[in-house]
Amino acid sequence: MALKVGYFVKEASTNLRRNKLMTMAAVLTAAVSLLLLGGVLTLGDFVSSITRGLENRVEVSVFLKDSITGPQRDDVKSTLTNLNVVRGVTFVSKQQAFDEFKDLYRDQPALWQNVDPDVLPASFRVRLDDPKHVDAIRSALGSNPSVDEIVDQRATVQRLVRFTSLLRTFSVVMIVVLLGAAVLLIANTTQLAIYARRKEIEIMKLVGATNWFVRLPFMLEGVAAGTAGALIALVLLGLGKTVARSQFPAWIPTIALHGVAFGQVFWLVILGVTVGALGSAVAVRRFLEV
Amino acid sequence: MIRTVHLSKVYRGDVKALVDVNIEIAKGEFVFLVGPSGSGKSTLRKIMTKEEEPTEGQVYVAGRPLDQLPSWRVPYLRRSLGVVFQDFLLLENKTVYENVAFALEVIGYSEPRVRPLVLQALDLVGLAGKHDRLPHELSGGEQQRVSIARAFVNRPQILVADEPTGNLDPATSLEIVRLLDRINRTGTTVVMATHDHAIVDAMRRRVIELENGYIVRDQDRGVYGPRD
Repeated sequence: MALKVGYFVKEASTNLRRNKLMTMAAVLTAAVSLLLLGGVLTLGDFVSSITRGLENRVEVSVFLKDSITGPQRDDVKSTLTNLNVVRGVTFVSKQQAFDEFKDLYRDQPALWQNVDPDVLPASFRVRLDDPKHVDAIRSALGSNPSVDEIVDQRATVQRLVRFTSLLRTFSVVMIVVLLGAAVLLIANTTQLAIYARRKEIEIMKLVGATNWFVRLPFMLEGVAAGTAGALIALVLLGLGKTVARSQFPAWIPTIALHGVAFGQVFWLVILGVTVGALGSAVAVRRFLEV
Repeated sequence: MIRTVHLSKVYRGDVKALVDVNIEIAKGEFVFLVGPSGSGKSTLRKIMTKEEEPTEGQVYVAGRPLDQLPSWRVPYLRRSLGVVFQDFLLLENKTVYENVAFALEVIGYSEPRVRPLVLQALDLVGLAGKHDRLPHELSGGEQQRVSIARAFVNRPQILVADEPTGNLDPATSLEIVRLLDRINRTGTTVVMATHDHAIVDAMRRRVIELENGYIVRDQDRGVYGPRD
C-alpha cells in the first residue's frame, strides 16, 4: 500500500479538532495517569537513594553495663576492631552521652535538668561496611557479660522502606485504573470521530480500501492524544521535581529530583503512545466488520 | 466472470434469502437481475462483494472461489467489482471531482495518477462540466452518474448496480441504464438488480428472475415478465 502520510495526518487532525472536548478529556486523563506514573518512578528513585544514604549513616550502638571494668572495655573494643565488617569504633562515655542528650533536647530542659548524667550508659558506636552486617556484631558480642544491649536502627529504616513500597503498590493500582480510563476515553473520542464519518468509511470499504487504510487516521489520532498526554505529564513532572527539591533539607540526597530521567521520558511516552493506539484500535474494530 | 454453484443463504430466524442458486455470467455480459423486493437480489450482491457469507454452495468471482478468499484480500476483490446503489452514497461535503477521486485515493493511488482517471470517468458519465459542484447542487440522475463514475473509475472487471434507478424518474432511469450499457461496451461485465419493468423491456438483455430466493427464469434477450 502506498502510504500517504499527508492524507493520514490531515484526517487525524480534522478529527481531533472536531471533538475538542472529548479529546481534551482523553489527553488530560492520559496526562494525569502518566504524571502519577512519573511521580511513582521518581518516588522510587528518591526513596531508594535516601534509604541508601540513611543506611550508610546508621551506626550500631553497643551499650555497656555500668559494672564494666577497664580491661573488659578494652576487650570489647578489640573484639569489635578485629571484626572485618567494622569500619570504625568510637567510644561514647556516660558524660558524652548525657551531653548529646542535652543537646538533642535543648529546647526542653525539663527533660534533662533533673537527670543524673550517670543514668545513661556508655557505649561503643560502630560503623559497618554494610548495615546488613549487624548480625556479625551480635554473634561476636551477644553473650559477652559486659555488654548490655546491641541496638541498630535498621528497623526504623525498614519501616520507611515498607511504607514506601506500600505506597508504590497503591500508586500502581491507581495508575492502572487511570490508564484504563484513558484508554476508554480515547476509545470514546475515536468512536465519535468514526460515527461522524461512518459514511466515508462505508464508501472506503466498498471501493476496496484496506482495513489499515481506514484504521490508520483514527489510530494516529489516538496516538497523538496519548503522546500529548505524555508530554504534559513530563512537563508537570519536571516542574514538580523542581518544587519538591527546594523543600528538602540539604542533607537529604535529592539527586533523583534533578531533571527528568531518560527512563522516565521513555516509559511515559511509550505508555502514552500505547494507550492512544489501544484506545482507538478498540473503537475502530467494530466498524471494520463488513 | 461470476458463477454460483448450489448457492443458498439462510438468515437468522430461518429466512431463506437464496435457495440453490446456479448462475453463470460470462465476461462482458449485461444481466438484469429482476424480482420483487425481498426476492434475494441484494443478498446475491452482498455475497458477491463478500459482505455476506453464503450458508451453502460456492461463488466464483473472476475465477476466484470466494470461500477461500482470506479476509485481508477482500479489499482487492472489491477493487475488481464496482458497486452502485439506489441512494448514490455520495459524500455531501465533497465536490463531484473529489467524490470520484476519493475512491482512488483510499486504495492508494498517487495524486498524478488520480487526476486523468477521474477526468476520464467524469467525461464518460457526461459530467465533464460539473467537477466542482456539490452533490446537493445536482439532480438525482446526475448524482447517480457521479456514483457510477466512482464505481468505474478504477476500471473494475465487474459493475454491480443495486436498484440504481429506484429513486429516479423514467426518463432519467433510461439515461442511467444507457450509461451502464456504454460501460458494458468497454468490456465490463454489468449486473443490474432492478424491478423497473420499462427499462428491462427496453433493453432486451439477459434476464434472471428471482422469487423468494429461487431462480424462476433465466432468459436471453428477455423482458421483465409476463405478469402485470
